[in-house]
Amino acid sequence: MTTIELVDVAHMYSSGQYAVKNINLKWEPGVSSALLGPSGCGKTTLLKIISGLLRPTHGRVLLNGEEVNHKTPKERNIAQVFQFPVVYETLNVYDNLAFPLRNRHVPETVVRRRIPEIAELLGLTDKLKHNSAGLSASDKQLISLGRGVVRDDLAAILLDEPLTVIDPHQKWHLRRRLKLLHHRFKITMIYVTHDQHEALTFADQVTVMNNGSALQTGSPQDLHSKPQAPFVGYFIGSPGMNLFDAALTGNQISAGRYSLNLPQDTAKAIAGQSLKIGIRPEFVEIHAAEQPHSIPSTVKEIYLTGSSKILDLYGADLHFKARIPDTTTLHVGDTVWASFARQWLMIYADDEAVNLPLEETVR
Amino acid sequence: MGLELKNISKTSQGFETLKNLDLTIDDGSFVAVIAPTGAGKTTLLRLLAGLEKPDQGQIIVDGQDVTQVHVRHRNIAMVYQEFINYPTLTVYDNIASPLRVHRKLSNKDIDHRVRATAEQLRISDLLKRLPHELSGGQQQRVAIGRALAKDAHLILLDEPLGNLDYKLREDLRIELKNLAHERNAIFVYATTEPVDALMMASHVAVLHEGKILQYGPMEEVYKKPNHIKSGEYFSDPPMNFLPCQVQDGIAMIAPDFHISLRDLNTDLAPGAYVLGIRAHHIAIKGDRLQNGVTIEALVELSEIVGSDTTMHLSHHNLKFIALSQQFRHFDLDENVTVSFDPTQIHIFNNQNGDVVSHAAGARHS
Amino acid sequence: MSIRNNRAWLFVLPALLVMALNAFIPFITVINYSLQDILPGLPAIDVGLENFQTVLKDDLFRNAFVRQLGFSFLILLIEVPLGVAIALALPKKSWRATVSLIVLGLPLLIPWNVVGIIWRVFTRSDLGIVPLFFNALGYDYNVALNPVDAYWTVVIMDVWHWTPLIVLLCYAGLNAIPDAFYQAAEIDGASSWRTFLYVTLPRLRSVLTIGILLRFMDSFRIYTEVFLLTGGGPGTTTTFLSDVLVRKAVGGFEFGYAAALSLIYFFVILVISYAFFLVLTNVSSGSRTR
Repeated sequence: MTTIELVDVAHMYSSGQYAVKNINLKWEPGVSSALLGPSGCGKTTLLKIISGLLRPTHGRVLLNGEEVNHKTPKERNIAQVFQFPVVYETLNVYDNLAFPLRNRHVPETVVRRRIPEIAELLGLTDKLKHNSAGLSASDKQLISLGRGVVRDDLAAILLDEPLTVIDPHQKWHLRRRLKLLHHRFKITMIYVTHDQHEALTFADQVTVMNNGSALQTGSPQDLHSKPQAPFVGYFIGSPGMNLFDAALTGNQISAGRYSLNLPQDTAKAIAGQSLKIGIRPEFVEIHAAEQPHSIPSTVKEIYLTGSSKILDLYGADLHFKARIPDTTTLHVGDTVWASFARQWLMIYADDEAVNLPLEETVR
Repeated sequence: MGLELKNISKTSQGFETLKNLDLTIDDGSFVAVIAPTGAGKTTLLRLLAGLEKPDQGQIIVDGQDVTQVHVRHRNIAMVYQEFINYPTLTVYDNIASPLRVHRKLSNKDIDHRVRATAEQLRISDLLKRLPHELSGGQQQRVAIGRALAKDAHLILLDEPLGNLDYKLREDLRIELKNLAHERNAIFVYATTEPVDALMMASHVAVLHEGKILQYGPMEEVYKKPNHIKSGEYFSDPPMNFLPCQVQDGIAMIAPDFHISLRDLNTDLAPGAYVLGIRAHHIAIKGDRLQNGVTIEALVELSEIVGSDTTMHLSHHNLKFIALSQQFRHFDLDENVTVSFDPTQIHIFNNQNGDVVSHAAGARHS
Repeated sequence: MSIRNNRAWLFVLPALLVMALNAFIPFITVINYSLQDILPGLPAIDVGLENFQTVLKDDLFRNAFVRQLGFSFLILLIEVPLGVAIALALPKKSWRATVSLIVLGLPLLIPWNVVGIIWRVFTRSDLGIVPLFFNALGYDYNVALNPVDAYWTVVIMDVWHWTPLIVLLCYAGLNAIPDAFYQAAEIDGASSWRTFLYVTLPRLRSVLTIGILLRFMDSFRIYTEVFLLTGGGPGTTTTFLSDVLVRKAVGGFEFGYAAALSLIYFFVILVISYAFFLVLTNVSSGSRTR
């Protein structure tokens, strides 16, 4: 069981640009986790730093407390599954799975016992004698995964967008296998993706990244309900969080014609910083009649998602979206009353979440 | 005006892709053509473009038969899934290229048109760059810009968002809808993703086995699928189909699983049918709907999609998918209680797949 | 796709005419000659397959054929592994790689007769650096008189001339192998040799197929360089098939024999190349190329 830790890790290119910076992350043994972010956010770089394929220009990589910056992936006992399937095409499935063991001179008796076991878990038992080159992308990825799991000295498995080339209909089968494998072997798995669906489904612990920084690490629930950075609110959830630029006057923070009263010390702490207010569309409540603290808004557009409707609203000089059940009947041009559920409201000062108890008024 | 396809047939690579296909589209429509991969969407678009000729049938635009007209002489624009731009031309020149080839527009007019289009697509500051310097999303915007600048009568899009990150897809869907709204052109958008149709389309055509299975206003096709395949293709997650026996107004799916059909208008003759119900009409304990038919089920996998949770469930041999509009967490193989909304059941003929009765709920919106 | 019009044929026509003159007509002529007994000035006599029988029974032909086969396979055995090894040793995608490739590629640019002459100068007893080198080691090197010296010099000359082709092909092939494969092999704990065997070699299959086919076909027809270097000697040590063919056709006016030999020659190359092709592309049957 291995604990993986990154301390003050940063990696700079020869051009002077940082691929990743200020990375302080920890993975407890057996955790299923994901690095989630758009293309270019640095997640693949981070994965390579953890696996040992890349040596960071700054900071330390620790395995069980020991610094391993200089160690190769082989020495770190880390397995990796790549974006496109990597199999040894001249070997059949059995020999592919046995490859890592045979390279380490594991006795054939052990190999003969272990391979069928692993094949069973992967659902590849009846394909063991098949040549690996002719298999589907899905099976090939399972083989890649299997080569990692077959070893018993494994510290962690890293997965770099492994479902990229998989047929959409096969994806959920692989996702289920991954979860089953993780459940069975309790190995640390770190999964890199730009797809929030994959990340939130697979991982118990998700780190959202953007522009080389790790913005927030937490459970899917935490990331959804309490995003600690505007980008996290935008990136998680479909549609993303409503974000309004805000300004502070005295103890009142306001965006458009919507404002909140803040406790004095909170207001003092955020004075002079760039401010944003955020609320998720699913936490914008829509009423037919006026409610205390609600905003009169006009419906600009209605989008269907099948299971719900998304309203494009304009009220209190703000554009925002709300999510309502698909059974609600509304038309473009209707006036509704929108309120922002207090406990889900977020305030960001310089792109960092601010803690707040509050009272709100609408001018 | 408008676009009409009459009795179109096309065989490609020995396979009859399109068979006696008929379709009529009005100006100003945004038609989403929904079908799984390989069903012939691309072939259909290519025929509309004039890149290929049908083996049989006619294509009529504005009352004129254009079936034999070469693509160069048809007023169309096309956007592909792989961001296709002229690699050696700047973004400006890419967008301007169709204007320079076809029309006799002055340079000033071309400039005006290019800049206006770039403004709409939010790429005004990229006009001097080359395509390979741009991100995927930006490249696709340029391709869309090139298609729109031409101001063609027919704009064809072949799964244009397929290669983009999911957040970019969300953003572009809204932008595309707004861009289409302002024009009187016909948009034909081929896709496998129902959400594309739901967000952008005014009309939907379901393509199945070479024919248009159903065509109509988007909401109507969605709420009232006329065939199992319409329900299957135009749902995400896919519609659940459960074989059942109907007797005395009750559908029996399993010995411990009966649903009353009294909400349906039709009296069904006793026999075997297929019951269809969408995932979000199956509630999990904790969700709003509680007065449906409940059964116990096992969670095979629960996944977060957008802001919802999709659950793959099984009840003995039956497998189905439910959708909950919150973030939920379930362990593998956990037991849950689920509830089926009887007003949202569609009944289909189990021989030919045609709809026998639409859902009661469908009639109320 | 249906053909819209036949304009395309007009573009192809000039090339077809050239090919007709340079290839089709001479080919038919050779077939005719091979079935006839021809002497200049006299009418041709049809002799059926007699010429073919003569060729196949001729010792000169048989010996040259075996010698040629041996030479081609020896060439392949040396050039292919050597080419792969050099390609592996080259740096990847830097200015150093470009310079190395240019220098290594120079022998490929030299006209074949010049290659022969260069090596003749190299190996001249009075001027050449090769005899100088061997004599310093105490060995009496003589390319004109010593059969062993002559044969191996021809081999080395061909290796010098053509290995760069294999190097260039393999270099391109190696660059096409994604890093992920090497990384995966490293993670799986494979030694350098096993990585070569299970990652590099399988992925070089298509370029190696091209390289082997090209080298086999060309080496089987080798003429100019050998002719200029040794003239086929000493004796018949370096007399390969093409040499026999030229002698019979040009020197001896035995057109029937030469034509029959040409056809046999052509047929052998075709069969062996095809056999190579089948073996190399079937090494992993049912594989999809990525």
